[in-house]
Amino acid sequence: MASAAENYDEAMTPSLRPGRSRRASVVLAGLLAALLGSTAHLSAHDPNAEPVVDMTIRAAAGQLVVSVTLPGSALSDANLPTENDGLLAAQGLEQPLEVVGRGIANTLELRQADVLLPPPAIRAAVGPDRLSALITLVYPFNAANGSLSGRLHTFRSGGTLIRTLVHYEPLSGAARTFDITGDYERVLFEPQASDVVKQFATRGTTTLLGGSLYFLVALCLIAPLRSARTLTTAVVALAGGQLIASAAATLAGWSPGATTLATLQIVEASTVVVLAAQGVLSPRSRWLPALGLVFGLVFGAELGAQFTQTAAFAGAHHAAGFVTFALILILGEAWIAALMASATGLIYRWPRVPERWTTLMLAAIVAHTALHRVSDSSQRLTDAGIPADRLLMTVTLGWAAAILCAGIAGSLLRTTGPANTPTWSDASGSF
Amino acid sequence: MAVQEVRTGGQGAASSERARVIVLASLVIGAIALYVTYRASGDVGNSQKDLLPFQTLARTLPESEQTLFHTLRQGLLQVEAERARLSRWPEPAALASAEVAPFAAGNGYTWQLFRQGVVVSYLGLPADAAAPAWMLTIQEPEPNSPPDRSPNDEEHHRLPDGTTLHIYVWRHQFGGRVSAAFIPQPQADGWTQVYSVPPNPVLPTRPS
Repeated sequence: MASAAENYDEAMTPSLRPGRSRRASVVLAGLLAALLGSTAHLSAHDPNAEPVVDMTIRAAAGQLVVSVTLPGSALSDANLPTENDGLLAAQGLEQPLEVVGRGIANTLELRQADVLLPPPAIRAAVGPDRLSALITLVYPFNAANGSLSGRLHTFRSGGTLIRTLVHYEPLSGAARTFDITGDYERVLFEPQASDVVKQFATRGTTTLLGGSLYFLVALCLIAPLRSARTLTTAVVALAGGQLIASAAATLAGWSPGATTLATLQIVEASTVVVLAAQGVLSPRSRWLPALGLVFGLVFGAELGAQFTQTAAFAGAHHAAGFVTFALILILGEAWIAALMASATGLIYRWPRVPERWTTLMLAAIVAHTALHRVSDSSQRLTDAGIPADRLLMTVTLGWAAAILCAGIAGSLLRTTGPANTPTWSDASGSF
Repeated sequence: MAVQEVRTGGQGAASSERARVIVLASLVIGAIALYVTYRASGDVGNSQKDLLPFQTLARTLPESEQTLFHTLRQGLLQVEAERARLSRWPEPAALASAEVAPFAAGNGYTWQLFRQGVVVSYLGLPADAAAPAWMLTIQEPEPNSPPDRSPNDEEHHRLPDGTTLHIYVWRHQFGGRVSAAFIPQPQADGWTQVYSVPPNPVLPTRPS
């Protein structure tokens, strides 16, 4: 027997058929693409000026060469002698820099088949700009002795963590770049498939539990009473969009700069605001799957970029890494939605819980949190010298246009059935 | 008279209810299992998130440095015992002759004691210039200050007379580039404070 909510949904959405839902999704996705396109110029001015330690690990016949370029900030704690102009001394730095080089070798802990490589020969010199230093470590190496691993880490300067980009160039096969921004990682340069699956399952779980955005979306989905079918459709649309966008971003090797990422996060958070508003104003809207799809596309693009950034850790098992990462996220999201929907169903069975006020309060909390995220991302853009107010105006107008188009499309596509506005009393009934 | 409609679902509703309860219970158990597995993996997120920029966790250091950190924390207990017995902080030479690790000879470090006001520092400089330097800083309470009620933990120790000590362990990556002197603000001189676990955010930290 269909529940009251299911009957209600069917009665209120006579035109919610696959073809029309698809058209609606295409309209919204097109608008989103236009919106992102209008902000594309922002990435052209991405001032990625943060100091970075650049490290290249190159396997050659009989030796392994590690070349490290340290920016001046990474050397500030080494108290190296400087000249009157404040730059590093042009001469006499070989010995102190060699000490720095040995320190790097100690913390890098290069191992082959779990055996520490012997101490390297060290060459060190001040960079031509007298701000940076070039350090070369040369290890005796035989590729046949087993797989190589290293303890890759960020550098510190006056309490600031400095990102490290490690380029690994094996004897055969494609070069890879590891972007190290957080804790140290013991990296297997040629990992087995099982290592990759385990590692990307952990990364997927960390992403799922570490970010709050999906939880906000799940709250928007479950706050008004919705049938299991409606919820499933919305979650499937979201997961589909997420999978498509993350796969596309991964295949394209998309690695956006900080400002593009901030722009993407503004669009993501604004989608959550619209979802929260929709839950209050039109809880039975036929556009819910379309909005889910839009959120999935934007969120998926960000996840794809995140995977691209860590894809080097998958070694030759790129596909296994992506499938594990994407699968863990989608299964986790479905599980969170199911858990929250079941809990809501039980809560709403208690007669003193008014659905209208509960939805309103949850929507207010969600919208407030999402607006804070918009504000935070805007601040990051402003800090990078990009006028975020224009972007915010574009996003607002974009959503206004999308909602207007949705309304027009809805009027044109409506055929038969009740066209009345849903009321709260209609929404009562068991979940 | 108000009419209240009472619906009974019969057997179908009962089995549906049972199924829902089982599904919800499974999801909750799944959540707990996932959380436990996730925590047990030992590599939970970014350890830096609960720390200040100049702080780090011992588990992020190379193995040899983790060993030295733990040895230093063990040695601290004997240092405190000597302080309680003698009413003054023991010299590194006395600790070395008593074979207190890591102050004992042959550990590759030369230890020196520096005092300034109520703060004492044991500074360990490495024989190998490429190895990190270590510093154990102990702060006693200022005279006439109100009693510190912080519970004993990694950062707060108590002498037998009830005196609360603040303990800080510092590491400098470039040990060969460190000068032997009292360092009032280690974090401003390239030192990193090392913890076993992130400090309690509620209790006061670093008073100096």
